[in-house]
Order: sequence, then C-alpha cells, then structure tokens
Amino acid sequence: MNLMNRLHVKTGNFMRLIKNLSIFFITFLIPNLTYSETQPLILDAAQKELNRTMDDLKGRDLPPYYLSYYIYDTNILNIEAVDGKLVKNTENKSRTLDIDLRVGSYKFDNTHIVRGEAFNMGSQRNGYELPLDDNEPAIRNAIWFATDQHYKKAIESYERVLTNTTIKVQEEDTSADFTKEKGYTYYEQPKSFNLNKKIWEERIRKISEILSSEEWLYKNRTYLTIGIVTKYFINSEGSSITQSEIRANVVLTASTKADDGMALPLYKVYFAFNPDSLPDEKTMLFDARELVKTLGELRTAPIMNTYSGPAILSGEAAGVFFHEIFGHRVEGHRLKDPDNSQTFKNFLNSKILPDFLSVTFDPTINYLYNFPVSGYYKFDDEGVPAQKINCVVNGVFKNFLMSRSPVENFPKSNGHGRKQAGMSAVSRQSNLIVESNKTVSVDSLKDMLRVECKKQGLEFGLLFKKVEGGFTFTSRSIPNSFNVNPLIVYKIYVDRKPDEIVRGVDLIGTPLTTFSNIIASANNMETFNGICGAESGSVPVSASSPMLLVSKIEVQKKAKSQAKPPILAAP
Amino acid sequence: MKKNKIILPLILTLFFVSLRAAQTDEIMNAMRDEIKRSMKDLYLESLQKPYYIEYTLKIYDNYHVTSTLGSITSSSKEKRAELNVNVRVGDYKFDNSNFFDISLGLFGSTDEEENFKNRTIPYEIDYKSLRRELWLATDAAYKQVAEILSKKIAVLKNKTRKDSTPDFIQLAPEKNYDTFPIPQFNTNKFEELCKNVSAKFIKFDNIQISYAGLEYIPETVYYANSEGREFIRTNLYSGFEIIAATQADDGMPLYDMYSAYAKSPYDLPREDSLNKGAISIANNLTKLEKAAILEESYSGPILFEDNAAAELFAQVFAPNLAVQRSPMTESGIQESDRYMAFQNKVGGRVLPEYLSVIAEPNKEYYEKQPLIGYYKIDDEGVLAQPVNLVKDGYLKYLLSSRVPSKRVNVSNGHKRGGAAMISIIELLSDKKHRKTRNELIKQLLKLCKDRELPYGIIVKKAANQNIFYTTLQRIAPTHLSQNYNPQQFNLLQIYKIYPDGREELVRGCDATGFTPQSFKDILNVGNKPYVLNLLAPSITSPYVSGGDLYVGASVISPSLIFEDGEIKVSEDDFPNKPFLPNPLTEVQSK
Repeated sequence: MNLMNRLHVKTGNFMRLIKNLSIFFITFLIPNLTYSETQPLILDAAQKELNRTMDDLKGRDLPPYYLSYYIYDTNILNIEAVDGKLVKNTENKSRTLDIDLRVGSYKFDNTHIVRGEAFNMGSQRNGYELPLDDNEPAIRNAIWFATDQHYKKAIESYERVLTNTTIKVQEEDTSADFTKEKGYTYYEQPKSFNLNKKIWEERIRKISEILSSEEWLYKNRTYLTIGIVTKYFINSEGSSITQSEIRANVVLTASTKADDGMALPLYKVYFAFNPDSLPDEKTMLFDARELVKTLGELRTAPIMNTYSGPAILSGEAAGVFFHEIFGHRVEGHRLKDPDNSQTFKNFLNSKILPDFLSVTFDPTINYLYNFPVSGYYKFDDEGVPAQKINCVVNGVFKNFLMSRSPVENFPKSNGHGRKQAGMSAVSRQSNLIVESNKTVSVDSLKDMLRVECKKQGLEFGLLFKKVEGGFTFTSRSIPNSFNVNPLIVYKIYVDRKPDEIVRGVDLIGTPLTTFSNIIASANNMETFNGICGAESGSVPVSASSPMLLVSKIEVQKKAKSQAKPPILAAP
Repeated sequence: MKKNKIILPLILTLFFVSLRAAQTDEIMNAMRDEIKRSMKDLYLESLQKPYYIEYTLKIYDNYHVTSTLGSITSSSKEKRAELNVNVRVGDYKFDNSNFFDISLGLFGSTDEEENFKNRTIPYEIDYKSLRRELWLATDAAYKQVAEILSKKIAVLKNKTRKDSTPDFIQLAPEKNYDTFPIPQFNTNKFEELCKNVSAKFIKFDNIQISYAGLEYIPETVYYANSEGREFIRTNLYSGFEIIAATQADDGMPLYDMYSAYAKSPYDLPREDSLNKGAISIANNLTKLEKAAILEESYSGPILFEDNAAAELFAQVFAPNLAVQRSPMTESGIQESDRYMAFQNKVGGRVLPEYLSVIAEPNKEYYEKQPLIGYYKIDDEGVLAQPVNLVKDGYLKYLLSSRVPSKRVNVSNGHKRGGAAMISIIELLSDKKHRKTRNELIKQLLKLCKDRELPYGIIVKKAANQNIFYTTLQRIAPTHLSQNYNPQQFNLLQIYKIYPDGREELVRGCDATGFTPQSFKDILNVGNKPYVLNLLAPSITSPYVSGGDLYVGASVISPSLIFEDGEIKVSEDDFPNKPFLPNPLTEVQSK
C-alpha cells in the first residue's frame, strides 16, 4: 500500500516510465549513535583513495578529470504496527558509497546523453557497502575496488557516447556535460538523539488499534521511521562536506472499501527534524479517530461524475498541484533531453502565471511559518551550496532549478542537484513555496467560488481538501498532462446547502491552460511534506501554498478496483 | 536461602512456558475457528464452496552479519510473521490447482486485493488479531482460486482430457509436534567471529575483495487444515560463508568460497576451522593466480573428488528425484525440462547396478556431522519418511508431496519450501566398487593411457550455487562470466594429473555437458563418503510454487570416477586488472 505522498514525474517513452515508476519507498532515513569528536577516519580514508586515484591515473590515456565520493552513514529505526500489533521493529545501520567518476572533460564526458536508446539510464551501479567501523585498510580496499569498476565503466561509456554523437544529428542543446564549481569545505558534528522505544512502540500500537477499530476498515498501517544520516562528500575539486541530519516521520494509513469495490485510502503524515518535535500522543490519537470518521463518510459518499468547472484547491492540494504541473517542468536537466517537452524553455522572462503569484524553491529554510519543511539541506548532493531560487516573480518566469548538468544559458548549478543514496543526481525540487500578494479570507474565497459557479451556470463547485499525490508526463511522445489524486473532495453548493463529501475522481489537465485559470488565493498557507520519486530516486520535498481558486478544472473517474468487499463479516 | 534461588528461576521458567502455551493455543484456536467458519459460510452464489483450507503461520527471526577484512559491514536482526493461506475449490480429483494462470500467477490481481501468499502479519499475535488476518486473507484466496478453477474448466471445455491424475491426495486427520527451545543468538559473539575470520584476508594483498557472513534463522511454524491435520514445528537454520575474488595476471577472474551450514549457530564449525577455511581460500587463490591455463578443452576420464563429487551429485542428479507436476496453462501443459529427467523413469535404470540412492530425512547427524536437510514434519504436516529412491541402479520411487503424479500417488513427506524437495540424499555403493584414492587415480591414469591422453583431470572443489548466484553476484559482479549458463557446473579447483602421478593446478575451465544420464557411466566410487550441506535451489520453480528460492538439504556422496566427461576452456575475454594497486599493499609495507 504505497499510497503515501507520491509525487512522481514521468519523463518519457514507456521504458522510461517503468524506470521512473518503479521505485518508491519512504526513505526517511534514521539515527546514528556514537561518534568521536575528531575528524572522522572515514573522510581521511576516502581522501587518500581519491588523491591516489587522481594522481596515479593521470598518465593514462583517458584519466578521470573528476571524481567524487559520497558516503552515507545511515541509521534507520523503524517501528510499524498493523491492527494494533507490531509487525516490524528494526534498527539498521549501514554505510554506503556512491561514486561519480568522469572521464573526458567538463564539456564532454562519459555521462553525455546517449540518444535513441530505450534504457538510457546513464548512471552506474552505486551504493557499495562499506565497513561500519573505523578500519582504514578495509574501508580503502572497498573504495579502491569500487572505484576501479567505475573507472572501467566510465571508459566504456565514453567510447559509446563518442560514437553516438558522431552518428546522430547535431544536438539542440550544445551546453557542457558538467558545470565547473568551486570546492567547498563544511563540517558539522554527526547528530544523535535518544529515543524511548518502549513509549513509541506503545503509541504506534494504540494509533494502529484505532485504525482497525471498525469492521469496515481493512488495510491499515502505522509506522514511525527515524533516520539519522551523516553524509560525507569529497571531490577532486577540493570539496569536503560533512552534513548530518535527523528526519522523523510518523505515518498513519488506513483504507476501506465502498460497496462498489472502490478502495478508499486515507493517511496522515507527521514530519519533524527531531523525534521530540513530533506532535504528542493525544494529537495523534485524535487525528487517527478523525481519519476513521472521514473514511466512514467516504465509504457511503456518492460517486462524483465527470465535472468541468470552478474549484478550490486547499493549500496542501495546491502545493502538490504546483509540484506536479510546475515543479517538474522547471527541473533544468530536462531541457537537455531531446524527448522532453521542455514546456518553459521559451518562456524565460514571459508571463506564465497571474501577476499576483510568485513561486520560489528554498532549500535553505527548515521551517516555514513555524511548520517544518522537509526539502531542507545546506549542500545539495553534488556538493553545491543550497540556494533560494525565485522561479516565478509576479507571474513572470525567471529561473530553472539547476544541478551540475548545465543547459543553454544556465551554465552553473544553483544547488538543486539531488538524489537518493545509490543513484545519480539530477536537478530536483526542494521546498516549493507559492506566494500571493492578493489574498482574501478562506470564506471569501468560497463565496468567490459560488459566484464563479453561478456565472458558469453550475449548481456547485468542488473543493479539493486532501490529495494523495500525483504524477505528470513531461515527454514529447505522450500528451503533456498531469493527474492529481484527491482523497477528500467536497461539493460546495451555490445555494449554500451544507458541503457534501464525494469520492471517485482524479483532477486532470494540461499545465499552461490550468495556470491561466487561477483567479484568486486565500490568506493562509498549508504545507505538504512528501517524498518525490523521479530519475534520481526518492528525495524529501515540501510544497506550500495558500488556497487557490481556479475558474476551470476538469476531473475524470478514478480507476477502481473490481473486487468485492469481503464475503464474510469480520470475525 | 539456596532453595529460594532455585525456586525463582523455576517459577520464571514455568511462567514463560505457560505464556508460550497460551499463545500457541490462541494461534491454533484462531486457525481452527476461521477454517470452520469459512468451510461453512465462505462462498459466492453460483461458485463452489472451498473443499479444503490450509493455514501456515511462520514466525521467525532473521539474524544477518556480514564483514570484510576484520570489519562488520552490516548486522541486522528482524522478527517477522508470515501467513500463507491455501484454499482449494472443486474436489480432490479436480480442483483449481495444477493450473498456472499467467496473469494472476505472475502479476497478481490488478485490483487492490488482500495478500494471501507470504502475507506479512504482526508478529505480536493473539486470537483476535490473527482471526482478522485469516479472515481477510482467506477471503482473497477464495475469490482468486474460484476464478482460477473456472478458467481451468473453461480451458478444458475445448479439449479431451488425457490425464486423469487427481489434483490432490486426501489424508486422514493427524496431529504432529516437533518443538524445542530456540537457542538465543549472541550477536556480539557472532559479530566477533565474522570479524576474526574476515580479518584473515588482510595479509593477502593479492586478493581484491573478500567477505565473510553469518546467517541464523530460527522459526516456528503453526499449521492447520480443514481435514483436521495440524502441526507445530520449530526449525533452525544457520550458515557461514566466506568468499574471496581476485584476478590472474592475464585478467582472468578467479574466486573461491567456503560454506558451512548447521541447524543451530552453535553447531557451526569453531572459529579455528573457519579461519582455516578462510586461509585455504586465500592460499588457493594465490596458487591459482600463478597456475597455468588449461590449453584446450578436455574430453576424457574425470575423477570428481569429495566436495566436487557431492556438488555434482547435488546439482545434476539429485534434483531429478522429486515429483514435479507440470501445471496446465491456457495453452496446454507447460512442460519445463528442468530436473524432469526421472519423472517417467520409475522402474528404469538410472545408475550402474552397484549404486543405490536413499533419502533419509530423519537423520540428524552423519557420523557426528550435523545435516541441515534433517526434519521430522514436512510443510503439509506429513511425517518425513525414508525412501529407497534407487535400488541397485534402478529407480524405485520419487520424493513426493500431496500433489500426485502419474506414477506417484502417496506423499512421503517431502513437501518443503513450496513443492516436493530433496532432503538428505545418500549415494551408496556395493563394497566391490569402493576404491581408495590411489586405486581411483590408478584407474584414471590407465584410462588416459588407453586413450593416449597426456594427462587426466581431477576436480576437487566446485562452486556452491547459492553463494555463486547471491553473494558473489553482489560483491564482485565483474568476476562472473557474461555468458552465464544456468546448466554450467562451476569448478573451483581442477588438477591435471600426469602419468607419473604429478598433480598440477589449472584454471580457466568449467564442466559442461554433465547430465543425470552421465551418472550411468560412473566406473567406481571412493571409499570415503563426503557430507555436503547446501542451500539447494527449489526443484519446482518458486514462480510456479510460490515457495522459497533455496531450501536446506544434505547430500552424501563418495568420490566419483567417470569414464568420459568434458572440461571446457573458458572463451570469455578477461576484464583488465585494477589500474591501481590494492591499498592493502600500503598497509603491508608499513
């Protein structure tokens, strides 16, 4: 039941679709406990291997011009319950190594895109297991063996991309393969925390019991994941960056089935940078009961038919909406992919949104209006400092999110090269923030919806309160649409009848049209913390927005399970 | 005072025992009650009721420690509970089974159905929560098998059915128990052991990568079916594996491995034996690096000694000794020829007349060596029975589960990990053909002389299939041949033997072309049986059975001399050697 916070991007033909869809799991990584105060041996060991590789391979035909080692020291604690009973209770430590080794030059190297191949993965196998303790010979042996394999692979890839460039037509985007960046030094002490596991086990059990408290509740899962990750990054440009982070998540999921077989899932996520900052037990139990109550309403709710008309997106829904239809289209590296639709390529300094809206991506903040935002980091996964990017200023498109893969007119990274351990970085989103300088109260926004409905001759408009996530296609070979999966949708009646909960629709559309239909925003701000899955794996992101009123949206029927509810009653 | 000290632990023990008993009762009662209710009321109108329901609940711990060069690389433990629900619709003669629906079988339902195969459920179990899990899983299982039965009927409507073998064997109620206290895993102790063993490679800077790992999986299985058959069984599995890989000067990838398996981790070889294992791998690789390549493929007499003989017997011959029922699919019976050589051979000769094969699942030790193929109760609650498989060269019977074949219609208690599987298989010879090593070598050289061959071949060690496809694949993928062939029998230690008795280690070759039929041509055997514990790949593909990939088994075989066999020179191109020296060389020189 991987329903949580999916924000997927789909970039291409079918093969690539599979590639992008395939991996999704919550990688909120967890804690590390003991560390010495001195400069970690792991950094020394890695540095020795890095220097040796760069120096000793210099004389070869095709020496590496760039090498980075990225070591993840990870400790993940996971407590999971179903039906009020523990199903998983683990704590796992690991230390893995990712290597980026490049031959050729910044202008043209082994990672150059190979055109015309179905599995155009570009990246190499990564995620080598390293010894957990400070055993220099063992660590260096593992790094050496892995580096050698990477070097051989890089030479092979280089020959292939060279040939590919010769036999294909001139590329549209002739920018370099890798940006030149400064070396950075940063060190922070590895973090740790204390957790009373017994208390958490009991709390997770209690929540989970509520989520299975009714006969008509079928699947349910409640879990706590706490990850401490200390990331060591060094490269041949002189960077040495040590960052340590704690991420704690509590996720509640439960689902029921309507009599027509439609599966109705709901969830609640809590995110914090420290387990102590998570909400207390009382709040969580209350939310669990509310979740069950809403599921009860949903299973008997009427099915919504296809609809086209005005709608309000809650801040959370609007955040996801922007993440999908906007965010994935400003990820700079896509401009290099000849199969990509490159929606905004020619919109630089042009208007794409109403004047009152601005969109920024800001990885440098960890709280927004006192609410934790999970797309926070100091340095990105290519060792470039995080930067706040104003993508849209007063409706005008200004900038792309850049990794170290440059595109025409954007020769530098702006600190958005991100990845999951074991993958290769591409430009990804961080903390997306939609801001408005023309706001009204939430009630007024609802009234504006009613007026708009009347104008269009409709009895009601829709309010999208909670969404599960969504996906979008950015390739040229399939229509450039998006799909947002709402979980809770209300009908707002023009004649002020009470709002009515409905089920069974997905919000669909194409990006540019939908943007032009945004007509107003509320004076609130809501945040959706989630995990975004794309080419470079799952990365934590957030999306914050005020409530938005859209003059025209379209919904289509949700895919529905054909299975009947259980034949026998619960025992 | 002293008395009190004794009483307290006693009370605690009693308390613990009764707690366990209470949980056991709750589990068994939940299973019985849900079976009863489902047999009576679980059906959809117009579809048949289930005629058979079976629940298997497995609660297990998984301890896994890995290490390299004296350091732990991972150490994990996880407790899990897994539920399998098997519902049958139709009757014993003709039901939903032995039919493989490709879309449902491989991809499952596209609808959000509850899982009923290997369903992970809470390991904290009481009556109420287990009933709930059983209810949801049984419901999903029933709906799926009812659909499969109708598909099977539909497929047969257009055909005249030739095979009338029943789908399932009916059995009387029976209750079997085989439980004992589970030995605790001492994490620190075993982490220390892994570190120490893996540290043996530090001295060998010619070896590129090395690994030592330990695994311990104790499990308790609770089983009940609608016929009134029940069992509770404790089972332990422990394994220790060591691997190392390097390349010869010409780039040829070389690897060697050591494995030891037992039930309890305390029955694994002691540290000094494991250390010896590690060092022998390192020494062998060091010798192999300098060894000559076999110049050309060899065709002639071959002596498989000890480990190599047992691996050959285990990989090529033994898997053919279990019943396999080829499932029907929409396009007819799906015959795979994997391990199917003896399905229609009962009564026929499969070995020379001086050889016999027996299965002895009840044998816990072979001359003090623990056997991991040992068990008392199989996965269907049938007591494991010894079977005379081959008598004086003639195939008498096959290892079977409750799924009959044309020739075998009784279960002899061999369902393990999804389908019928080997347990403990011993190859026996009459006295006359048991020879000493010297006699075997003499015979080998004589055969060579008769064929005017300059040398003969002795194979002393072969690769462990499990380690080859799991660990080696993971730690040194570049060391595996790109032209991988599942039929290939991978060799680790091959020697040329010259007429003067001189033995010379060679590298770069593999045995191909050995089939179960080759075993008819065994000329003589050794006089010392070799005991091989192994994780044998499931005979019936787990994609069809839904079972495990590997199952613990034991094979006991003497050395084997074949009149004719082929050793092929590897034709792969070799990867370059690492461009930089191993950093271990720096450590050595310091």
